[in-house]
Amino acid sequence: MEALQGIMPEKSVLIFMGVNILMAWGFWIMIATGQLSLGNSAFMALGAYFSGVITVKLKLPLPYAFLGAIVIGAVSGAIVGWPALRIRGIYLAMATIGVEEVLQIFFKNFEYTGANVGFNGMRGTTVELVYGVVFVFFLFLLKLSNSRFGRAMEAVRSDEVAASAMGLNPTYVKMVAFIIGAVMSSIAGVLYAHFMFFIAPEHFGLMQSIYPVLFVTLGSVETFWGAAFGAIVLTLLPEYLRFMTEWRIVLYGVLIVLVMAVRPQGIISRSVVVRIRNIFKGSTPSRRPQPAVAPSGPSGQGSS
Amino acid sequence: MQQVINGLMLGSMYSLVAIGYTLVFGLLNLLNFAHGDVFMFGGFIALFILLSLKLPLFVAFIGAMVGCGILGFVLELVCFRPVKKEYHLAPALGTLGFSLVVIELTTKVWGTEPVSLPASVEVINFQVGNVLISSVQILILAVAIGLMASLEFLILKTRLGRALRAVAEDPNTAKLLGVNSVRIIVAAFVISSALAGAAGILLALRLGLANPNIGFTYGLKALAVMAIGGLGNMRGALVGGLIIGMAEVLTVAFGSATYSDVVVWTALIAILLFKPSGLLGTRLQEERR
Repeated sequence: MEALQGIMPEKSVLIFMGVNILMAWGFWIMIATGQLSLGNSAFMALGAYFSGVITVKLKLPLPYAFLGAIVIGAVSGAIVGWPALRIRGIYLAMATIGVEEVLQIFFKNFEYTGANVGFNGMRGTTVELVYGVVFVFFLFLLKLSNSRFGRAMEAVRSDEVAASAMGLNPTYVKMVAFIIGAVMSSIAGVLYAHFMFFIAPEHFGLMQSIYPVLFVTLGSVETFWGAAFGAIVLTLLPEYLRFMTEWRIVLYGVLIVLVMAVRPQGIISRSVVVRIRNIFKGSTPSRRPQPAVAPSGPSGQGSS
Repeated sequence: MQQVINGLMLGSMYSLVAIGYTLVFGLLNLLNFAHGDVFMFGGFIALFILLSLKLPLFVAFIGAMVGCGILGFVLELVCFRPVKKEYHLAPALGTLGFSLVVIELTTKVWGTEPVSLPASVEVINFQVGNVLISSVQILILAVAIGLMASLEFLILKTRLGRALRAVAEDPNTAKLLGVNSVRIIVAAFVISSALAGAAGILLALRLGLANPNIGFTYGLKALAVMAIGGLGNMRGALVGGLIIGMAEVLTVAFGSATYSDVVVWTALIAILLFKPSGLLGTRLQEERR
């Protein structure tokens, strides 16, 4: 164990990593149906505060907090997601920023949960719990991406009109995806709050919404593996860059700029997943999808 | 009346920043997340010129605009040009990374706390009836109006402006007709950043200090202003800025300060829901949805 001390991340880092993976997936499932949300920290905040009220104010055990978070995540996801169906792209991003900002101001003024001062008393998150939850969602996403609904999501993202012409209901697909994403973010909020012990409105600012976007774009928008990969790398990187504390944020920024410039589709894109899967299956490269994914080829190879 | 003047002041500042956003967005459909921090950086360049070089204010103005223009050029070079066209999100995130670097470097040099401007910048106050107008306010208004007017002239009357509009309308056709779109895009970044630089020094003058954390809040609000006015629509950004500035000042005056931001954001959400092309949106904005 002594030798591992320097290499193994601390407990708090592991927990943040799990929370970040959940946030990344929450964002990913929305973007997987073409919905760019920059307000997921709002769902995270709702989950955190609501579950905090359940465990601290009502003194109920933690499982109720999860139940509450699922409910509040689904309800708020529906409330935000339903009108948001009218708008898309950058407009949706801005509307969700608006929601996030308004909610932030609400929590800053809501005396019941401590307003600006913050709200404390939540405890109970363990590493095992976090990774249990992550595993459950992992299985869920794995199942989803091979299911009818997963393919429907893909169809809606690539071409909504064509998808509806083929008998899919894009409104339903997008709505469900948005709600699932909101629930995931909300559960991430529960885990976060019950580990931090103390939460304040500024923990759930816009930056908390932007991190998942970074995770997903670094990893790749195309697969949920990529989202998890991005979350893991970007959580661990600052830890291992600690020896250069002074400059790590600069380096972080430079890294993002570089990855975006060299490999805009992210590191774990679909072609990479297929290639890795083929290694495990031992099948020939002929099963690789057609060269439509090739643009990632020559320029991206050098960096990855 | 006093409030109206304050609102105008704040609004014209928002407009300047939002016009910068709009210029880039209208051309490339790209959200430039670093814009707010370019704006912040303008204040610090001004601070440096005033405090360390002890040069007069107008030099600081030119310095801030040129410095930010260069920053905009670098931004285009590293975040936009190398990224392939198919990836819409990538350049926007690249700018986010860029903004992290700008903030971090700024705090490395000047620290994380706001820095006061030297008192050498004299403030003379005028009393008109019962309204108090400071020379800083007059300066802000004059500069803002001057810059917006010259931008309007540039866009409508010059060759560059025509090329800009052509690329914004249809980049491919513009290219076919012989417009050097790369140069136009660089120009848009430089102009938008220079405007942000000017706005940055104006804000620094108004507050009497340069604050490294300001880029985010003001950048976000300018983003809202842009959406309210109509994405990619320059006059929309101007009108939106004034409306938001007024609304904010008036809610502070007649209501409570805590809810002034709520007004901005609910206005944004309402506009996006009911008239997504923005207040002054045109066909071009409608198509981009």
